[in-house]
Amino acid sequence: MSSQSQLESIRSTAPLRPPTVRVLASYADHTDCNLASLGFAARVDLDRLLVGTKFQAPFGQSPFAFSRGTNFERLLRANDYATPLRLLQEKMGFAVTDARTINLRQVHAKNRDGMRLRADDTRALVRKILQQHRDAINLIDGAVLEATIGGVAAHFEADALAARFSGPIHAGEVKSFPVVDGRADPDKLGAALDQVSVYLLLTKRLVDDLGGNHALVSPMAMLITPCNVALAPTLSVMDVTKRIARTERLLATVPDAIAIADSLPSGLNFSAVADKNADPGRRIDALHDLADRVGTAYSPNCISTCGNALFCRARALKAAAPTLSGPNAVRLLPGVNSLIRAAELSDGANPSPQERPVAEHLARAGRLYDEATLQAGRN
Amino acid sequence: MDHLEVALAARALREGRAFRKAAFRHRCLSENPIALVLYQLGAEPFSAAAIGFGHCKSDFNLIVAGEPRNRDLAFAALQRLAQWFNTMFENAAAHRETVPNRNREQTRANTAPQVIVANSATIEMIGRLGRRLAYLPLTGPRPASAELVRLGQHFLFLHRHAGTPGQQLIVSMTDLLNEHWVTPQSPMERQSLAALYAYIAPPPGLHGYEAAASAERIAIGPLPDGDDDEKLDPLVQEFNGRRNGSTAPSVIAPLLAPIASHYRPLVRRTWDLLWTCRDREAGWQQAPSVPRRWDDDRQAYTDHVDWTLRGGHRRTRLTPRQAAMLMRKLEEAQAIVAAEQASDDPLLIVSDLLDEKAVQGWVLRVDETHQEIVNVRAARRPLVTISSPDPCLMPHGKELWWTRTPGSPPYVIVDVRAGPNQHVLITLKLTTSSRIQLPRTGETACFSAHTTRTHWFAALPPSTPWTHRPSSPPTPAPIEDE
Repeated sequence: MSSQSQLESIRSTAPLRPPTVRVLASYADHTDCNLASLGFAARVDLDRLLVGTKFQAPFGQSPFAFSRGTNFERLLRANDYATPLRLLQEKMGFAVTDARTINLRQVHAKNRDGMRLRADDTRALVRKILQQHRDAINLIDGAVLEATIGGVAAHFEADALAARFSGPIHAGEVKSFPVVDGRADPDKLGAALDQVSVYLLLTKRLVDDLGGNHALVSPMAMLITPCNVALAPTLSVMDVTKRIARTERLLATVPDAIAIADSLPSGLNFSAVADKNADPGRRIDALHDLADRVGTAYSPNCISTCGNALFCRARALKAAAPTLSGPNAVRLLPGVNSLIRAAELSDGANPSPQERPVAEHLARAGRLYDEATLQAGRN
Repeated sequence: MDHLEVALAARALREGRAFRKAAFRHRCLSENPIALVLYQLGAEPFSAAAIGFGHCKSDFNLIVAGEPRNRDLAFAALQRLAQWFNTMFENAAAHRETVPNRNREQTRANTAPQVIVANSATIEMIGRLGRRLAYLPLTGPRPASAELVRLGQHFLFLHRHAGTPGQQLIVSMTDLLNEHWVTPQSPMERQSLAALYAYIAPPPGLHGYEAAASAERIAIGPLPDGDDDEKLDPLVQEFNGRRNGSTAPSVIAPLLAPIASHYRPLVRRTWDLLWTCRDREAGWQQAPSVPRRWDDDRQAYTDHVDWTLRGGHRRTRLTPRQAAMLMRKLEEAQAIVAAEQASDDPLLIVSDLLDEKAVQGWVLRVDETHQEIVNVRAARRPLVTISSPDPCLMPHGKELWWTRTPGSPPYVIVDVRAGPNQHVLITLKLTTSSRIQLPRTGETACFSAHTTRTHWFAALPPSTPWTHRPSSPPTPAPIEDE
């Protein structure tokens, strides 16, 4: 069986999620989790996998938030990209008069074949840019980049690729959070820049692949966001060299999905978990079975990015794993396997040799706290 | 997080309930606060779709904007809030006392209003609304009302003041609980007031984890829950259809009822939770240093009201000089708060003891008459010897302050040696001959690196160095699109 069909049989009837850069950027936060890696490689939509069970992911999006995003994008596409081109002219020195644009989303159908065709088109367009062809496109909307992550080839949709004639290639992202007084929400800004750095990394690989010089891909990320209260667009440019390096490091550590899939007994797949007609308890048992076989790596970060997080948190609770309280707790408790054990050590329990270094601190903390509580009670 | 917090988190998981990390309440809670609950529409950051306000639990008022993406309707809703809020907020400034400030006198309001909100996201939203309103033009084609601009200035002040360590003019209930309780939740999970409170006061027989897991799905605001907005969407569409482009109050008012009934239970839920948390925390004894910080808050409030009512404006971004001065002020405030809390609270000092920033033990001897040669003259330098069960890794000469007198001159460690029963004998020398209070033999004394003494700082250069001049100093301007 080919690796692709093997992964498809693992996904089975589970909801499908085509890999976008957003999915990749959020997956990049937990490449150490085998279950997430398997779900990512098999394109399982983990956000919808547990719908109907008590671990259903709370990722419902407000229709108002959605319409804000689409309105803003529509505004940018109006008049043949007049606004983004004006911004490119003002901030990046692009010539507007003969700018050529293309919206690949309109050229091909919105399906898997369409993605492949868009990837081919993107490749051809970038080749023209590299050759400094006269007809080279300046702004590609909906470029699709191809990448092999964890041994599985996938297509990733980018918002915008832009290039000036004989200039560097830029990647941009459209976001609808506002910039006011030159500042934006740091969390949202960070997430957006992470996404652009994924585009830039994939574009660099594409350029390498085409025999070009990847130094042509600019590390300056372009972000098009509304400015102030209304939706008037503005362009911000930020250096994301470090983020690109980090993304490259993270993606290099992605485990090999085929190896994980091979370790599963044949016939084991996500179908029993995804079956909405089945008893929720049975579905969760099936996921436990999968998780036991491939292994998981829960951390509280997962809650904002992975649909299985509540399930994994419940597993972590069962083991009273220190990771429940976050990475700092893990760092402070080397050699201690569970929080319950840590509580015993703070009461002065006899430590095992591997617990001894931490036990001394915990016991002292517990004793001082108990004494201080008594003292506070007396006062 | 340190070893104490992780030990308490572990115990909290075992017991199924949160552990207190402070013996006192280190923020004052006013008897008559201004409570605010805000809800925004979807991801519209400047839109107050629903506003809950009042000054006690039973005084619950709700304003909905209907279509907060429309400027006129958004401002109409905020105008109603401004009428109530400005009166409540400004009234306290009428009654003043005179206090000395170096060699002149200044006035200070006898009391200050306290605003309580659910979380720091609400404070951020207050900052965004303030930014939107405070710089609106009072003249021109679309003049804003003076009340609205003043509301914006008060909101901006509260948002800015919220960054001052230990301040109490605006209290985020989530932060207040987090500063006083330890739970095994991760920092992000602790940002949900409902989940945090569920761990602190779980229903009888229920483990805190279970209580928190079901509570964390409750939206607190200002970010709405996606499913709630899903239900709101048709109501807003119908509202927009029926008003047919009109923003006249006579047209709008009768159409708001369905949207108000959508928001009422959501805002009320947060409202009740906010007050439950507030009332529960108010039951804890207030720490002795709280009134000193309240004095600072009253002064900041008085200065703000005087400046605003004189027509003053503030920058939207600080100049490098202002930023440097502010940073220094905040660092100093942080150090003083840490010192005050450590000397107030026997529980809070434990982290410092574990961190080798403090020593504690029985006072074995106090040699009040000890003398040594200081600059050719013999001077009194009292010695205090304590016996501590814990090792002391601090070096000789380390400056420490007795937690009872954190504002007095420091002690220095002069000797550390082994004592009986595996105890450690630490001798400290007071660095002044002034007759100040000394520990008594037989009591427990704690010496920490925290002090409430402030340092004198060199003045900044009169002109800003070229390295610190921003390329284009932004000018405060409205952020509305005309």
